Amino acid sequence: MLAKLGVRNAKRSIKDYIIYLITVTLAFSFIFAFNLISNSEDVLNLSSVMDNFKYVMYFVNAFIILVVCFLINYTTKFMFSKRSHEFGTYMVLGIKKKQISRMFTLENLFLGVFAFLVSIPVGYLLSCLFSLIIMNIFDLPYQVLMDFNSNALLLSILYFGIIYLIALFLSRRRIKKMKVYDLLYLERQNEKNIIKHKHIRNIGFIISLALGIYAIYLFDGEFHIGTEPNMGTIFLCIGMLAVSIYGVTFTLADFILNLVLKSKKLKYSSDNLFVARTFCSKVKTMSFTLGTLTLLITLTLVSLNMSSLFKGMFDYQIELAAPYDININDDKTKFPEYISLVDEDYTILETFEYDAYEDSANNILNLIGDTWRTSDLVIPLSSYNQLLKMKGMDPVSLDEGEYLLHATREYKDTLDVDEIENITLSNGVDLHLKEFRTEGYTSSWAYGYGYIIVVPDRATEELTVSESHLIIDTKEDTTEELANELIAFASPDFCEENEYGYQVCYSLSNIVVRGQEEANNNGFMTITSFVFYYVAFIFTAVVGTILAIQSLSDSTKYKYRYTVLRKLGVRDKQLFKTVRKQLLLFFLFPLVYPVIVSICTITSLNDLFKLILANDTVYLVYFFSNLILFLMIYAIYFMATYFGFKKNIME
Amino acid sequence: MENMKKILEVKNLKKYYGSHGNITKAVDGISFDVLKGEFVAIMGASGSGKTTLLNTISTIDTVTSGNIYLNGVDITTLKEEELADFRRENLGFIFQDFNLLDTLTIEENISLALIINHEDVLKVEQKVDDIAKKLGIGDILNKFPYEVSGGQKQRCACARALINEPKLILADEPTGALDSKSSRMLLEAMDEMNERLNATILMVTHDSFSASFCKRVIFIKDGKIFNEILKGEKSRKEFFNEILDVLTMLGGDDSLAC
Repeated sequence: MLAKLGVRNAKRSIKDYIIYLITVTLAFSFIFAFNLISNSEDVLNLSSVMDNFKYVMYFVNAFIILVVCFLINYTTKFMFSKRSHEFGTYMVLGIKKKQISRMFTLENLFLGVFAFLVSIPVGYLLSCLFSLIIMNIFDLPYQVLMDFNSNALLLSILYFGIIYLIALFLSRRRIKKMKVYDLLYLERQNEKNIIKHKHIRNIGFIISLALGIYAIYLFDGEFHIGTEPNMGTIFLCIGMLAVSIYGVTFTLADFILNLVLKSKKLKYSSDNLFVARTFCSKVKTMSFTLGTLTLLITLTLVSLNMSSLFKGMFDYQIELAAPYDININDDKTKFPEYISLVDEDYTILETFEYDAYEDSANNILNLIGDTWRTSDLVIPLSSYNQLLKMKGMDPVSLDEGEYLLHATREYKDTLDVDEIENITLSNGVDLHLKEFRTEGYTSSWAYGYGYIIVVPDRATEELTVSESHLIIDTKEDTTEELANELIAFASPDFCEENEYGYQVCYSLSNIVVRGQEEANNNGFMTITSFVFYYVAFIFTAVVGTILAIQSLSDSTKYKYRYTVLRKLGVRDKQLFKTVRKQLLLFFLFPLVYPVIVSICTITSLNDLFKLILANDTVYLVYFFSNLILFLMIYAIYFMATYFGFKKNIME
Repeated sequence: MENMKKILEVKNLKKYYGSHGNITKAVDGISFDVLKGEFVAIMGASGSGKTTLLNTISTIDTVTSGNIYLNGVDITTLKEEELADFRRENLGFIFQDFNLLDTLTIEENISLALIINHEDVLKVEQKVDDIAKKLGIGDILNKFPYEVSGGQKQRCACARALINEPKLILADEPTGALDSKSSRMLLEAMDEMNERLNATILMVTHDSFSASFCKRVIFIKDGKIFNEILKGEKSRKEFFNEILDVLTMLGGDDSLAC
């Protein structure tokens, strides 16, 4: 009979907790998919930077386990409180607490195992999709399906075990502490309202808000060019923000309610009063949970922003280092051989050769005070314009007696323009600075310099050639393999065969192939952002699930509220509008603070990052695209909740 | 004199809530006995302590001091794990809100307690059928609780309380959620349970009409026994009027005050 009861209850629970089940299944699917990828030899052998991937994943998964555990524990607790009356009845009928506890544990375990079993095929498909994307980045033909790694499966089982062991242990301990009386009357209890006095609550709100503002201000002060951020201060800021988030969540609802009640206009216009009252009673009874959810959303948005900043930085690094498909700096006589080597596998669209000259007057070098370079680097305007053209930039013009300095963004703040207003080259030509530009600078023009001096063609007369460059534009995307071939040709000592028969070469600074830069930077970056998005997705799903479960259970518990409204003559359309408003408020409430915090922190971080990003404002693009991404997933949970809610109150 | 055997003995029972200077004396030194085969009502206004008293007797709640002997066993000294067995073997419950399990059919609800006791399946079926017929719910046994009326639900709860042949049936406002017709039917059923099956019933109510079906009424005020009257040979109507008289002295009855 108990088994029958258990199965029937689990069946009923599936209906009530479908959103929760989907989330848990997806969470396990992602855990399994990432276990498969991080254990796959194929993926790990892709590049040297992948070695750490496996260990990073252990760390990330530990974090994920914690959050999934939070979700399962929360939902179990929630289910338990919903059914406390039922358990009380069992006990009154003489069923022992041990038996009830066993039944509840079995039910939850049954749901968990169900989710886990479904997650294996789903996770496997996900891993195939992910590795397809990864293989694509590395330009490798994707022939084999992911191997079904038993280590990954064991690891997933281990994670599942840990999660359920903790969740069920907590649940059993909770049941053990319960008395029949508590069970029969648990439904009447809410989360404790921690701060009782209205006055103290309002003061608490202001203090919490002030603390948050101060934390953001302090955080902002840590990020300036030229100063090292103090980790102690940053952790202090994070701590203060966390306290502030909880503080504001505890007090904000009442603060809003006070405002609505004070203003007659607000109070009695449309359904404000109903919505505000319902919302406040909800927030008050679960403010601790909402605080945690707010914290999770903050973490999600901030980590997405960090991921974007790093991605932007790496993209910019690639653009900086390898704007052309191939850039070779070598002996001019070897150029035809390079070209024919590339020509074997690639369609060459355009080649361009140019010389850069050395200028021993060192007008710029002397100001920078660098010791390992011996002279300034000068290139003629015609070559410069051709280089700009191949990069897709507009050409520039210089009059006789004018020069242009193109440098990395770091020099914008450190070089004193007045001192280089007029310079004299070592061949005696006097030049006046026309423009000091930083936009679109690439280190491939002058490896290791960070700047070039562009002069009219005639001004390079009598200067010695410092280096010769060959630039090749190919139709196909270049690969790491091509780079290895070119390096092997230039310096055979730099290459060796590894145990799998692949040729592995150390990178050579005078041969820059875009495909290789991408493989080194982008591959690593893509996987890192995968991980960030994985964490963000799980967090978002957990937050969405908890809000959905709470709202849907309210829709059945407080169905009468809506029945009353309908009896009072509120039309269905208006009723749905009220429900939408109320749910929207509930879903937006834990979102407001994180949005503010994340835009403030990314702005602060941008003060440091802007030097290595494409431009000063690109961070806003990152911020908004991340927010939209988050909102898209969040919206799915919102819609599911809304439709479920509607269905429940209309039944 | 088998009928005169004491089933329940409550001795100087106290149940206090709160702490420090703010103590609520929900039950304040109550003593009484219930004999085998009695049908006793406990009456009092809201907050008089009647439900707390019933909760302590039914082992749902603990006591602050005093003793409760059920069939000679002091239940205030039983341990948590012993209580489950004790409840199963000795007590039957009827609640105001039925407390039926909505995932089980009426039949399964009635038989749940027996099945947990591992009784013979065939015997269980026979017993459920018998009791259901007596209570007039034989034709709805395969339905789920949400498919039947409130009165039928409560009679199902009665059947569940009776099936174990408990020493004592405890009822907490059993007619509280029923309309007057269903109430009357239920009370008549309980009366019959008492008369024909010789079940001992202790019922808490604030409704004089319900109380008039009992053989004895104990009145409680502020956690103490205020009065006690016996039906004796009086008719139900006469007893009802007598109850009303006591309630007037007591300072009002909820149901009449409304």
